[in-house]
Amino acid sequence: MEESQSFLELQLDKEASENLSEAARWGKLLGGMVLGAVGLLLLLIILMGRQLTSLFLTSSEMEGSEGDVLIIGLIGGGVFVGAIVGILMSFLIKGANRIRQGILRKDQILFNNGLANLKNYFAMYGILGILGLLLSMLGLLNQ
Amino acid sequence: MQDDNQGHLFTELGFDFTARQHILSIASWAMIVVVVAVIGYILNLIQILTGGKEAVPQSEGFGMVDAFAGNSTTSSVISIIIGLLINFFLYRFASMARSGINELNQDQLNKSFNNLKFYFVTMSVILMVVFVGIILFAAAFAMKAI
Repeated sequence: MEESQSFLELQLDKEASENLSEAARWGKLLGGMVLGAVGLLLLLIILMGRQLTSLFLTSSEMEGSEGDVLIIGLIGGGVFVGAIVGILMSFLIKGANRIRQGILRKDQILFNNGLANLKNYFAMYGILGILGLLLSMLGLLNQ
Repeated sequence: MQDDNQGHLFTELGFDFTARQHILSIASWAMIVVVVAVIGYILNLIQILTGGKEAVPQSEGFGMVDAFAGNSTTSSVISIIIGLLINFFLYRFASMARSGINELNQDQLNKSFNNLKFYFVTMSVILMVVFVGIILFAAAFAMKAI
């Protein structure tokens, strides 16, 4: 009966539930802010594509097809990054919600599901971090 | 006896086997995030010290970008310091959570959640400061353009 509770096992006492609830609350806020920022950035790219590409191209290049290609590339890249960040933050927000609700309702299944979502968040974050590190190491080697 | 997950009406919420496994996974992945971040900071520092960042070429349309890149070393160092602070809390959460679960140490586990809270608090506050900075910069830029 490894899943049966006993006084020797770890309990979600008052301090743990307060800390976890607060962590979940701030995690949810962070997730919301990041999603909002990414959404705004995407909107900015769509609305101000021409002005943004003028930072990187000369006026003659802007008049040609390079400007359109760069705008499409920027929007496509923005959507791709937005999707990845969206999935990442959805794990965080769902996990935070479920952990808090699990603690409030004393629902072990909901609480465990929240922890599972948080695990997915950190797993995805870790994998993206490893990929980013590999890319920057490749960039360093190519210099 | 029924699965304890079903008997939550009669027991307090706790860290059953599933919850403990999830927390250990979270701690492992959090540690990976910390290690990757620290390696990234070291690589960044190496780039700065070896002068690996090339100057932005002056050409039409690059004037504004050059204004941003004017103090890239200082901003990189500040970013690294902030990143180390954030990852310090994550590291403490990961190490304390792992030892708390493995040694059945309630106090250690509680402290780990405290560090997780500080991790999210620090990230959120820094992001808010960055947002305010961007808004102020955009407003100043817009006023200058007018």
